[in-house]
Amino acid sequence: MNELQLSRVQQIWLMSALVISCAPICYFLPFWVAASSLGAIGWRAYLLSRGHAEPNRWVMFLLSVILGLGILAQFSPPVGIEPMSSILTAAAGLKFLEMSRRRESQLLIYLCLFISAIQPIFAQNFGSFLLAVFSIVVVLTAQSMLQRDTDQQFSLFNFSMEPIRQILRLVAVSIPLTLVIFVLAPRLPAFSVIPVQIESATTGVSDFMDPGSISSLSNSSEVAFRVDFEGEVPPARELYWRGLVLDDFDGRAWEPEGRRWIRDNASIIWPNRATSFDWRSETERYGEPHRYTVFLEPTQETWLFALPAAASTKESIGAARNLVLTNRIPISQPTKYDVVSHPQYRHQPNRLDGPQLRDNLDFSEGSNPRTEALIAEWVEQSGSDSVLPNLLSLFNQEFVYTMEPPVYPGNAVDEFIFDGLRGFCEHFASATAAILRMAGIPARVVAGYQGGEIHPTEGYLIVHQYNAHAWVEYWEQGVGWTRVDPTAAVAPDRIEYGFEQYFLNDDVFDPSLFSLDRFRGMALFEWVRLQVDSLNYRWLTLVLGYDTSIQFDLFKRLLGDVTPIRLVLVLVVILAALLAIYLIWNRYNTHRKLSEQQKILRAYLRQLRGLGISIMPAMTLQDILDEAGQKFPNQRANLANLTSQIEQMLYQMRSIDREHLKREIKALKLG
Amino acid sequence: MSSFSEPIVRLKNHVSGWQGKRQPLVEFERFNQRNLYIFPAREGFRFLIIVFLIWMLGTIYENNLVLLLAFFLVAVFVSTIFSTHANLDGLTLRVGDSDPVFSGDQLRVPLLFESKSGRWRRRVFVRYQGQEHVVDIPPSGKATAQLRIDTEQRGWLALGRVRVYTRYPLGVLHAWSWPLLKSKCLVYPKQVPRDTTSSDGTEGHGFAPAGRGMDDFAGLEEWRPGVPAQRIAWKQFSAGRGMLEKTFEAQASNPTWIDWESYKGIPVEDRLSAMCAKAMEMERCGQSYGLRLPGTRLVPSQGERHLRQLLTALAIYPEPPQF
Repeated sequence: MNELQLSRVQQIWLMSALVISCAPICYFLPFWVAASSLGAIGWRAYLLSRGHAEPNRWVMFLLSVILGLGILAQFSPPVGIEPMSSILTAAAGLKFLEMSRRRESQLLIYLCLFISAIQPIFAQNFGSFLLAVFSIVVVLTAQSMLQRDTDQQFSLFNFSMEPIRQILRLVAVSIPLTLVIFVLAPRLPAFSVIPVQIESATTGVSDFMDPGSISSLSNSSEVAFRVDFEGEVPPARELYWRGLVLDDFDGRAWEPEGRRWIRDNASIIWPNRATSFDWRSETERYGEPHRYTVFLEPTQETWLFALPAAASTKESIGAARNLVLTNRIPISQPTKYDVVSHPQYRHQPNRLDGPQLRDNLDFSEGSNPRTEALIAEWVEQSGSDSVLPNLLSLFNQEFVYTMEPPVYPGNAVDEFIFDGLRGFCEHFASATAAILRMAGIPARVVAGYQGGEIHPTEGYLIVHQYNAHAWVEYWEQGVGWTRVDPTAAVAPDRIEYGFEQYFLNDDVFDPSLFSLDRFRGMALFEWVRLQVDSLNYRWLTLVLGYDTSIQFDLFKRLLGDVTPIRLVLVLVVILAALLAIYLIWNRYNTHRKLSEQQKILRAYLRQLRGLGISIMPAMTLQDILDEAGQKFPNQRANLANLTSQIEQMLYQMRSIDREHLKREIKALKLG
Repeated sequence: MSSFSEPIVRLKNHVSGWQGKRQPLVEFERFNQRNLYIFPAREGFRFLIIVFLIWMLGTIYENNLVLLLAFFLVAVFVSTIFSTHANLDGLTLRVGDSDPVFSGDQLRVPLLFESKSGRWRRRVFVRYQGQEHVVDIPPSGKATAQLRIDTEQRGWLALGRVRVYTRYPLGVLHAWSWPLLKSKCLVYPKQVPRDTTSSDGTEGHGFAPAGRGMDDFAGLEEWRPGVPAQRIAWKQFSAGRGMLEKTFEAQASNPTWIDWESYKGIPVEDRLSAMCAKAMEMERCGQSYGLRLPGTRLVPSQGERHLRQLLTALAIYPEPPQF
């Protein structure tokens, strides 16, 4: 066959490599990119079936131009991971369409290899990673098929597992070294931070809260983040994971304050960086802190979640003046950060700045007239200090906490307080903050998560999307900001026992919305769900979260002191160990093969001895044959045949069927 | 210029001298750590560039999984060093027997690979003087690469170094060896017909007896293997007297000697070529003929075996043939 032309088997393997490497990322790319690659594969298959080799060069040129323009039109500017992946995927499709020689197909292999390896940028869970490894194995198999002579026609009947087995062996041998490199290789700091622009919607708590925005999250049992506490997990009623502070109220919806005193970068303090305005003295922290590590799932947003009075030393995490943490770039990948939180603290106890005070008293006058009138009445009757207790008891007596609140299309607070009386946490929080402002008390809404599920065997905390929550903080002279959760007034069990417990017996709770959670209460499925989660957690902590600091700690524990010489020494020792294992294994394999031949020979001699033939150590096989032949002349031919087979086996003159030989020796009966 | 190229020449000599010590001329070569070399192939460097790009992407995006995959590919590359090496390690290579040809004709030289291990050796390439052959060697089996060599010189074929290499399984590494093998391939002198040059007519006149001829029946002798069938005394054989050979006395007037001395005054190679052509002509005509070379003498006879002996003597001249 022609060495340069691709055989059909090779083309099929290349096609598999292309499909398997591109398919997982096509989900994240514009649909027409995937469509064009699929079209290229289909076209190629059609051309193959018609016996044509490849399309006209001009057609190819035209196609490349069209795809290039398409990508330019889709992405502006065309930088980042998405346009790059689109270009690579489209290029791989085109290359597949036109390639006809082995050498050209090598480029396709490398494209596929690269595409497979960048899959984890789009999705980092364990399953996606296995998929990426699988596609790399397929690509490597395709590459090894290119090295082979494969002119047999492809069919399922002569489909050979041998190339796959060979690659799997190579992969298995490579795994220990991979782990060694992973643990030891130094990590460079990211030399430029490029956010991953994935057009999928952001998940989790958003920075715009209007009635209904948080209750929409209550349908999702996806994990928002997991937390590993250094000590005991604090009780559920203390687990208020602050994410965003919403100060700006327009009469209906809440947003973070856009004005200078909070948004300006100057008010965010970054570790190891000079700051023009240091507000840290505004916060007093005392008591025993909680120390914990958060493993946050991608949100595509910059805010981070932590218990109040949080501080983090991570380079990329800044602290905002309103005591929330923020990441420098949107969280597009699972992210790990350590936090120290003081549950006892006083924030801004002495005074609020003029602009801040003004903003935190702004209830957008006139937008909820009925409520304003009611509150004015309350204040007149018993002063502004009684407003909050009055309101909470009102909630407790007359209001209903529900996952499916009615729609409040107009003046949301008015409609909720006077007409609807049913709401989810954001309705209560929104109304409470607005009413406090109407009473002249500075107040704001905090959005984040509340509570979490403690993994029964692993002990870490799982915070689901349905734990999303909103509550209120109000300001008092001398005390600073104090948390008040109106939801606790209307449904204290929600806070004390958690969301699932509270809604478990609620008719409205639709368990089919929860993926694995629909089987809650069924022990087996519960067990499976928790095992899957702990696997994911292990994955997060061991692999995704492995960073320079863990690496340094590990080295320190192993080596005592981290010096370049010791590191090099460790590397040399490990490589030598791996090499030694390889050589021993090799030697062992050869021995095993020898001993199999020896076994057959021994079986033969044992048989003859059993038949009464005396065998002396110095006898050759021929001598033994002569001896046996004299004793059993009628079996001579059979024995001669066996002897020659054994000789052939021992001296490797040609390969023989050993199993058959073993059977023949066993069947040997003389006399 | 010579002073400039001298160090290079010396280096080359040094390398080839080192190579000569490492892989001297042998009957057969068994590939092992001593005589196998391994280095990344061109594709291997490209592979490493791709891995580097993946690593860079993993670093830019601070993505441990991408880094893990990059490290995995590095590990695969390292493992491939072993598996590529193992594809040749333990193989033996020898030169098989081949039919002699006349100088200028194409010689077919089989290179025999033999494997004693229980796995396939795939895609083993042999490169020799611009030709490339590829063989797959089955477990505990053999495979042959047929070299085609245009011969120019008579004598034992000096094969020179053969390059044996493989890139299996991934094509990213190149393992090779340069065995220098003894060949048992003989090249006869080119046939160039030419009249005898000497006037004293040593082409047989006056010499008698000239050995076994075809003309006059001389008697019967005991049969020896290699005697042409027409000389077997079939009558006596059927009469039960055993295999006998009819012997003839060649005519004194036609004792055919192919004599070195008859081709005086022309270069050695031309002489041998002429003698070679003469021998072929005699064999074709069915006459018996003998050979006289300095240091060698073959009594007149005829037949395939005789011709071979004679041509061998001519081919390896001035070495004396050993029969």
